[in-house]
Amino acid sequence: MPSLTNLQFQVCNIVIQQFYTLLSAHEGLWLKRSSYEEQPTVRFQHQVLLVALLGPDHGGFLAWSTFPAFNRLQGDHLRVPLVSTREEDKNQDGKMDMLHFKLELPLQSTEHVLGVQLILTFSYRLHRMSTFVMQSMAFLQSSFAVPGSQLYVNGDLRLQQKHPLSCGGLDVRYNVSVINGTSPFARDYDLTHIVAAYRDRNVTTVLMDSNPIWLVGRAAEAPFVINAIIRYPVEVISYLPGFWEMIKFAWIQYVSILLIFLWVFERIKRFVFQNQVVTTIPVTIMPQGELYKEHLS
Amino acid sequence: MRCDSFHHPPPTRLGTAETHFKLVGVLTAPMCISQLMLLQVFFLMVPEGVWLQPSSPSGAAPTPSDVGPASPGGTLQSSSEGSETPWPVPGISTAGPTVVTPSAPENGTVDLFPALPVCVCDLTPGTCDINCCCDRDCYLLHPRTVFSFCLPGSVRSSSWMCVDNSLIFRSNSPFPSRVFMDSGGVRQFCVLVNNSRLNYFQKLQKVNATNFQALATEFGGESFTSTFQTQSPPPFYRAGDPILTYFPKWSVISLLRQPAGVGAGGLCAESNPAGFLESKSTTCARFFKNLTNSCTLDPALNAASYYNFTVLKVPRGMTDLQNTKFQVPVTLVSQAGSPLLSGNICQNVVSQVIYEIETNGTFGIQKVSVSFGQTNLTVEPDTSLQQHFLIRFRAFQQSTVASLTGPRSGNPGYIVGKPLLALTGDKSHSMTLLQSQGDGICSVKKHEVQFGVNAISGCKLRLKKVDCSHLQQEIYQTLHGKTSPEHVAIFGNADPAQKREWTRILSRNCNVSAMHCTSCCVIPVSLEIQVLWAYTGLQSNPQAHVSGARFLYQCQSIKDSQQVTEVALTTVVTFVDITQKPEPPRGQPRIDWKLPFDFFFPLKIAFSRGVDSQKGSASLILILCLLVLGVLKLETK
Repeated sequence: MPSLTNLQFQVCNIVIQQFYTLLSAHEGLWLKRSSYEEQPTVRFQHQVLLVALLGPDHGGFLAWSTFPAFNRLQGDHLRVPLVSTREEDKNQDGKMDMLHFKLELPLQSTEHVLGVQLILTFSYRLHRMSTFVMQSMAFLQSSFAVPGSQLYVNGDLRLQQKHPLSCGGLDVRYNVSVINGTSPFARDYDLTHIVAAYRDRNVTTVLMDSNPIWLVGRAAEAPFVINAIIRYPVEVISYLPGFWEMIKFAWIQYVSILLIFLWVFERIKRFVFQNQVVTTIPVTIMPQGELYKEHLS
Repeated sequence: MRCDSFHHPPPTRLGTAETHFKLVGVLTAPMCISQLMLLQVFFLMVPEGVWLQPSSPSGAAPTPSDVGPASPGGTLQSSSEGSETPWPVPGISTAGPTVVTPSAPENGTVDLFPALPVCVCDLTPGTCDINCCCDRDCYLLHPRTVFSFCLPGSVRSSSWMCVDNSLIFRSNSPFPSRVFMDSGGVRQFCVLVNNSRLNYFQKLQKVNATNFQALATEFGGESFTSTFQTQSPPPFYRAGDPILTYFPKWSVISLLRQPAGVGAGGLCAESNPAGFLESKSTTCARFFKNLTNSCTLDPALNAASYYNFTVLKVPRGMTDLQNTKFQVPVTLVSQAGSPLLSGNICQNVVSQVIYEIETNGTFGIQKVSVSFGQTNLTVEPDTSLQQHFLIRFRAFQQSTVASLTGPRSGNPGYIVGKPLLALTGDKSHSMTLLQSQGDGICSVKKHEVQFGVNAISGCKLRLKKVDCSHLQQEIYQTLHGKTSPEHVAIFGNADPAQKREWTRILSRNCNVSAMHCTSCCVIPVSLEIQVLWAYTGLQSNPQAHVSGARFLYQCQSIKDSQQVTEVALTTVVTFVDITQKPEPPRGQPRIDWKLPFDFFFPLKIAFSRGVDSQKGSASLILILCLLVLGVLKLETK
């Protein structure tokens, strides 16, 4: 075997460099982030927190929630609505597809609703890669200059990720309730506090409906109605690929480029030695035995 | 791919402009670019008298020098004037042609024939029209020297058919041809089409009374239509048809109206018609700026305006309005007074209108009766009123007993959103929840429990000064309604007479013994109605049935000494689906599997598309076969 000359070493170096630049072009060799589609298993937790903002002349607001402690705090502002909900599995695949939510807030003839803040909580599960469980919320805030009779919302409950999920295992980081219903303190039911704590999460859900519809013209004895249809769509979820998934995609790139380089480099090597481009000294490999003997002596 | 049509025209027919042009046209097809060489050869060879045989196009390989680009100036070698006579033999073609040599090809508008028989732009007689190159009033020999351009139509128009110039190297077409620059700066090779069939509009069609409509419908599309349509009245009403009414006092035909809320305001749309056989109820709101006036003047508040007319039995009655045979009077079920303003109160205002209409097939409406709900309104600056309108249709002489049982909630299985049926004694009714009034106090009105819809509601109850057992009784009554439901219907079509179609409601009152207080009164504060339901029957036609229901009361103890005046009550209804789904068929992945069950995905796609993508699946199979072959070959090596 010919010894490695300086030139040969350099050529080899360049080739290896080229090899790796080609491999790591654009996305690089390793798959660092990937995504998949899944329809989440969403269930409405039947937790509601409602604040209805009234017109100025009647002052203040009306509030109600499914949390007894919150209701106790409201005093005169408490007004119990009629809430009816239904979750529908349209394609009968075992996963709910939408929530029909209707809230009728009885009002006196002098009360006028100008704005609404509503929190609905959901349990949200992803299954395909990592088993991800969280309790999330849909926050709806809408107001209008004219006193309303009905608010119609038709939107999607979308997943928002700040960081990719992991590729396996159980993830219950956010399996904590959005509203601490056991707490007797007013602070725990403060909307700013609830939203601030919720937005701190890396994974949240939001209600996407840019244009809630206000219907105006409420008769004196009619209640204020919130009519919401919330859909649970299929989500594209980004995640960090696991070790074997990275290897699966990497080795194909590695081998395919390596084969070409090996072939090209082989040709160059042959050309160099056959045409004696550099001075080469043929050296015969000494038998192992002799070397050993020599060393002994 | 080869352009066969190129080789086919027999040489003897090349002479007409039409066929010749077709030749050029063929070239524009993208497939034929490869044939360009052949075309050039073709054009080159013809004048030299060498006729290509369609069978041997390849025999005419050009030498490189033969193939030259079209001359940049754009003109051409063109061309003997194409008379209508076919091209006879190559030699004779040069015999008597009018050679056209366009001189300024680039901008194309050459004033070849300044005097036109009809000058389309000569609009002002006796005056020179600007830029009208054919206007004789201008007395210009060379109008283009004075005008900046010539209006279209003021020079002889000609129809050119063009192809991209790069497709043509040389033209030996006998017809006038030119190279123009189009608006995009692309050079176009154009041939003057000299064929009356192509150049002129086809001869006008004769229009007369018989074919006018046919032509209008054949060539016309959507257009404006006048809304006024005259139609003879149909012999009888069909479902959904508006119902005709007649006011004998004013001899006016109108429609039976069912005002409905419309638009964002929910205001009453007065003229919303009622549909024949469509029993429905509508609700809408009315606002009054000045109730003192409206109270007696507004017909919408006056009961009389809802029955001071007759209803036409069948629309055909329109033709003979004097004949009362075709008319049915609206009968009053109960007396309804007209609105009356007494002091600050407007009395007898219509808040609800219920029409009961009996029909008899194609014989139309047999009987119409109306009943009213009335209320009093206080005169305030901005008063509003909600009105309810209900129209019920019933078959004529249908036994009233049958109609008393009320509508089914499904047949047999419950339909989501229909009332949940309950039975007290022998009387069937729908299960209800509490509802609160505007001020939060418990309302007399109750909310119907809908099947499959979870609901919560509550209200405040003012406590009267009564003893404990009376208090308990009153609150229980408020929670579950006047009478406590004992049974719930298993299916939506349960018959009150058939006891086995009903299941007993499990009721659990609160545990009194747990309280260690003698002077206390234990009162229920909430009722939770739990309904377990499931689908039965075929999976393709599931029927929902109630498996069981339970009343769960929760209690609170109040001390007699405490001055409790108000208690908050809550009612909740929960539907729990306990359906056991059958195992999915073999081969279908389960929802909780994490295996890569899409391994054969491409195959599945290919085969499931079916007939419409035969080609796709064929090529896929081919690729798969090649792969398998390749693998086999590798193994044998």
